[in-house]
Amino acid sequence: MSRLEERTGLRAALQSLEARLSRPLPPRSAGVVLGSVALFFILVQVISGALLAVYYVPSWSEAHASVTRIAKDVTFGWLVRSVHVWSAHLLVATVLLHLVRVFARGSYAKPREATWLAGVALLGVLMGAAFTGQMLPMDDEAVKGAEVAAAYARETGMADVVRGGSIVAQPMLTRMFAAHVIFVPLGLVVLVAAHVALVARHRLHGAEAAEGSSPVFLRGLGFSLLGAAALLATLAFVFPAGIGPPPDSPDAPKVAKPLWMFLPVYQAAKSVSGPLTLLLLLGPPAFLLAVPFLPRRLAVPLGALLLAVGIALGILGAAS
Amino acid sequence: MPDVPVSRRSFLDTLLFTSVAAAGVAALAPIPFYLRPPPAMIPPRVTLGKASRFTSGTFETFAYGGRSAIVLHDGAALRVIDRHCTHQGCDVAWTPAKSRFECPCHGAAFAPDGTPVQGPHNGPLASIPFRTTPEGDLEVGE
Repeated sequence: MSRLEERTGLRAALQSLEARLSRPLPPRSAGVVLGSVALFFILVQVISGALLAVYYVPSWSEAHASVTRIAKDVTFGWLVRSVHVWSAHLLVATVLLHLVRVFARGSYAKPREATWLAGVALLGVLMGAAFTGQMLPMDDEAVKGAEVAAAYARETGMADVVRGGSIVAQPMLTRMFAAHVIFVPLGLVVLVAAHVALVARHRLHGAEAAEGSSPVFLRGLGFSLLGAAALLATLAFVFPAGIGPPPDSPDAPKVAKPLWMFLPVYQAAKSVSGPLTLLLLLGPPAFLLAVPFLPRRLAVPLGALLLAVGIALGILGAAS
Repeated sequence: MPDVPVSRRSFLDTLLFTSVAAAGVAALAPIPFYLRPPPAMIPPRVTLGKASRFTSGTFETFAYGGRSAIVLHDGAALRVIDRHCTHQGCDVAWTPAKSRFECPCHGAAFAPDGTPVQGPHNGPLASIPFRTTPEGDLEVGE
């Protein structure tokens, strides 16, 4: 036994990890890599986000200039920012596909309820990351979005908590920055650890039927990571993330739309107000948290309805 | 080297995992370049005229990178010091009578080379690099 191995057990740990990852996959389960791809995008977010924090200035008056400097002056700054933005979109999209797949297969059933709940909580944290991250560049769209979010928050009596004061100003940017770079990563570490540990504990849904069949997880993981990295690199290089004009500049668009993942709520909120907004905001997460405890014949139609309405509202919101 | 039979599968697996590792390394390559600040963030060089006009005992303040700096000949050497006090950020002033920098806010004092000699501080005053050009001009900046 080498000195390093004696002290760290690194090789034994890696071998045990490889053995776990080399198990055969259940039949018709190529989609199982979605979770691993999501984890890959989370790692990309942590690294690229840490790099962006090197130059970002969380100040109401200087944030826009500092992000512009990253995009224009810093060597490879445009690339780091572009990777962070595109990886965020791909991450949320991957997690949503993962969620729909797991829901459709009923993989959340006993004994995997806790895995599902940790996953839903992860989705919530990631949506929060997307929202808070969108405000940080402090372009016109970000400031308008912050006003809209504060308006929603007013319906729930949480406006002062979101704004950190009575108006949308520096305190809100400070809160969004703290949430984005401290609370979100902390939440991700805890929830990812729980989610992955639970997957390892209960193994994949249908794994019992998979003994001896092919392909192994590790190989699927290798191909999916290459595919995900290639897609991310293509998007980041071909469509570098832009930055809008500073707030209240003459060439700013009149209406700001939220990120695509918030479009269904944005569209629905146009026709409701008051306490109904609360239902609109809390209904979908409440349903997702209840899923493992609902009878399947109730959960499936409700979930399908929610998905169909969500997609329809999203398309309407994008087209409006 | 003896012929070791390699199955097509294990060859392709090696190819796959080597590709993943290579992609990972390639993705990290830009980071060292990214971390080096762009020229726009490094204050431009400032020329303060002929270096020879700074004889022993002369000093002069000037603006540098949004801050105030001081060029000084203390009898031993020419020095260019950032006036930003390392305690709370007030601008220190050169006191010729005591031959030291003194902070008006909390009474810190620094030797001509920036070394703290008294009072509250967080390290020495920053020295700004400078050189004499072949034409004899004093040029301040990285």
